[in-house]
Amino acid sequence: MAQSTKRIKSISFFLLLISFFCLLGFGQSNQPQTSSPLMPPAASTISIDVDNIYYLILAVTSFFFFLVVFLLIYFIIKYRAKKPGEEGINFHGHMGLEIVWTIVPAVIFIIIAIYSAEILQKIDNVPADAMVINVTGEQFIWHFEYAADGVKSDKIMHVPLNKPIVLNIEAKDVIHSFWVPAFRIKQDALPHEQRETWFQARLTGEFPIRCAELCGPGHSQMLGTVIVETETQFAAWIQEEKEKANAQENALSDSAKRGLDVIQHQGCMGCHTIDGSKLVGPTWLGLYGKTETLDDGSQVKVDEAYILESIRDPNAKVVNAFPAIMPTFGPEKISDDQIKDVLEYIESLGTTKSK
Amino acid sequence: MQQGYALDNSHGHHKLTWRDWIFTTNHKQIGILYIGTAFFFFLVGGVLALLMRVKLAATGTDILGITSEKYNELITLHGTVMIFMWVMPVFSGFINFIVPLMIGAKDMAFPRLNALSYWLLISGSLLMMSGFVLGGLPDAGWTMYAPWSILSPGIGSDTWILGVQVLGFSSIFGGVNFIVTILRMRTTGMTFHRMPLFVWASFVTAALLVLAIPALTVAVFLVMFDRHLGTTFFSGAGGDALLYQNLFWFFGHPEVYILILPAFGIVSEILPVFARKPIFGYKAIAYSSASIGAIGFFVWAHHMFTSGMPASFRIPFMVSTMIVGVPTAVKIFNWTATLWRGKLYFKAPMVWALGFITLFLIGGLSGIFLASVPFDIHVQDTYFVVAHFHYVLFGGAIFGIFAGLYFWLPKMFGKMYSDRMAKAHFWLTFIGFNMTFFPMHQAGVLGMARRYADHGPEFSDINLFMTIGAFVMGLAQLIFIWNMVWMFRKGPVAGDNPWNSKTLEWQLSSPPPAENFETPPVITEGPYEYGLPYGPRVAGAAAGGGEQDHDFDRGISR
Ligand code: HEC
Ligand SMILES: [Cu+2]
Ligand SMILES: [Cu+2]
Repeated sequence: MAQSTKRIKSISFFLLLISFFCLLGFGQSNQPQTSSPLMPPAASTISIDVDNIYYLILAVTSFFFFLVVFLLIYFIIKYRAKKPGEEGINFHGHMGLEIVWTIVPAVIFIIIAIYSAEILQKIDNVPADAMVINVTGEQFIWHFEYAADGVKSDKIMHVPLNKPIVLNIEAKDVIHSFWVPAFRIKQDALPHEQRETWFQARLTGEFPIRCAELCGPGHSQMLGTVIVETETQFAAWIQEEKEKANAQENALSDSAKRGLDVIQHQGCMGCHTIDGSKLVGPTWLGLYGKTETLDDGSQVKVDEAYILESIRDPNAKVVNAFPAIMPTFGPEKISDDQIKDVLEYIESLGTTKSK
Repeated sequence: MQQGYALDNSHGHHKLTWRDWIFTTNHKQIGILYIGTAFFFFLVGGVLALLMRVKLAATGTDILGITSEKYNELITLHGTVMIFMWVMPVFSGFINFIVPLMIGAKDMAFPRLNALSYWLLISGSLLMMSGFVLGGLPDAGWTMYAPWSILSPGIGSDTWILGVQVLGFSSIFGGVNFIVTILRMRTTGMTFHRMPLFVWASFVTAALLVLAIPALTVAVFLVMFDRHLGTTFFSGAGGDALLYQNLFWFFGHPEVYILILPAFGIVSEILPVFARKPIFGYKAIAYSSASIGAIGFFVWAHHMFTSGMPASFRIPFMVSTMIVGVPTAVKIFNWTATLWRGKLYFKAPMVWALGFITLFLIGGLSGIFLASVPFDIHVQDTYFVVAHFHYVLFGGAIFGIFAGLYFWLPKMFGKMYSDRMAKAHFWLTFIGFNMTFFPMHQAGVLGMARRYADHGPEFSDINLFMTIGAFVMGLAQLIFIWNMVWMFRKGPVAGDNPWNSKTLEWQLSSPPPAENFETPPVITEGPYEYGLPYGPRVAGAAAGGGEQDHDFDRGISR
């Protein structure tokens, strides 16, 4: 009897010791850290909460891991058979114990779930005044568009410190996943559908962006960088980019500029692109002068008359491999004057020389 | 495989020819065919894994000419082979061989359907591998996510889809057969609550096969339509890429249990025999298998927390995932408690079973991290996930498989392997396994994304270390192969019941006679009545040719 109480004492001491270490680890973690060997830099506000969940679960699971392993080793040493032919006891189980070890994990899981749900609430709660960046994934590159300023960039995303930022994420071709480990955010980019996520950076610096969904042979090269900078630095960068873009736009004639307005107003860009990629309809890049194959197999050289017809009566000639779904834009939508501007703009996108 | 496998039936000793093997409808031969075939694919899948590890050992180079395109093919085939052509068929093999014996049946309920299932496995595997000959291997990962699987050029996705369909039918037919066998073929007195736990696990697994695989069938057929018939289920402007993921994971999560429940069953068989003590909480283990199977159908979206599914669904799926963790925890406690006050014999099956508990424990615990949505958002599609499912499927399923092999090989072939080699196999695999997969947790948390053909220099040391671990594991499997060669050529006669086990299969000769039991045995008590000085539980089993062995003071001698 005395021996068994001694054993129970030493076991409970051991368990206490384990729990102590686990709790110590957890207590440590409660201070926001900028660098820890266990985690990437906690560069966003939410990352501190996420890390705390990690440390909490780490403490709990470590406790159970050491508990079970301790018991296993203890039993292995204690109950090792010493000679052939020994039998254990004919003991089938214990209802009370069974109930305890059903309820204890259940309660712990509930606590973890509640805690996680609280943090998730924060993650899903997008601040209303956030700055918007549209993120597009395309095999194998990330594009960024700063909604308020119309500025665009590839691979590198600049963001100001301490400001909430919403990302509207979408893909052009297949599923990609936008992941910034330092921000603990990840959101799949779906084709034809937008999803949002947000963050607020709390550290300046450069942090890697990775694609986290297998998207083809270049998947592991689909990398990028977030540059978190002070608000003034960020404003300066935006300014610089705007000037660059303006310089480009100034290259357009007045008529082409008016054409661009019409096009934006009529929503043509929902189906057409100007960068060579295919959306619902064909791209306009280098449309002029190109020889287009129609769905009846015949060929037609793209000129002003063809483009005009494509807008006024789109189904008269339908481009091969595209559905005949382009709406008709009659004079009540685009006046004859405006259509000239539109043609001018499309022409400005480059001419293809066909034989 | 033919080596000396004999049918010890009443008509005398009859050596099986290759014809007998091809046209067999006997559950024991089919079981062995399944296991042998599956083991071949284990080696194939293992070589694919080693090639992946070679590629990842250094950054910035294509060692052995493994480009990122080829790397994507490697990961796709490795996952597919290991899941559909190794773990699933090897368990079908165990169920085939063991379950009819355990429940006192003569054979499976539908012996010819059983043979069909096996040959469908072969056909499906050939289709799956046909890309090697036809030129064009699948490269969209074992998950075949649309729309990349639809847009991916070449015939890779097509061979994968056709192969998986045929393998799926093989599994569904197998599942139906197992269910009917367990429901209808039990001998007198073999009530549900007297069934060995491996039979319980097999029953739940079979139910999952039949209920889950059709979702995969539908999903990949629609991918096929999108690829070739111009439909837009998952692609194009009207397509819904998330629909594919929902269908896939509705299959995919139960699939995880298809891959692990039989291992639970195997370990639950081995522990009582080598602890000489009844399993702790028989009903708790049996019912937890059943509830894992049922709840397992309501957790699938935990694979999709970052997919862009409705945010409001994430909390319910987190909660259901936590709930499914409870019966899993219960099992671990029950197994541990089985050792308490037993008399433990550390033969190879027991050592592997204890390894299983330890590693599966880690895999289960890392699952709790992943269930928590905020943390999962960070580590989804990283090496943390890779670590998690290898602890579950290698540390769990494969350690369970080896435990089961070492346990039942003497019954299957009547010969004994070398226990020392089996333990060397264990320790090398155990060490190599942990070297390879434990660091992956940390790598994932630090930002190492999954399915990357190349990682930045910040991860090069850890990758090299993991590659070394993988080769240690590879080496360990050579010991196993050598041990098998040794067993077939020189292994001593195992005897009918070398472990002094109480379940029915051990009451027969080794290998068992063709018709199993000449007269059906009558069962009068549960399967794990250890710890009693005497107590026959099988009346009439001796008729089957196996000598009755209740000489318990012999214990485990070999
Ligand atoms: C609902 C989607 C949609 C919208 C909106 C749309 N288009 Fe189109 N467009 C198409 C499709 C699809 C085609 C190709 C099939 C065809 O020829 O009808 C096309 C073809 C064209 C073509 C011929 C291109 C070629 O390669 O031959 C021109 C020019 C064109 N559209 C101009 C416009 C203009 C200008 C607008 C806005 C005023 C516009 N489209 C709005 C879908 C659209
Ligand atoms: Cu990618
Ligand atoms: Cu799952």
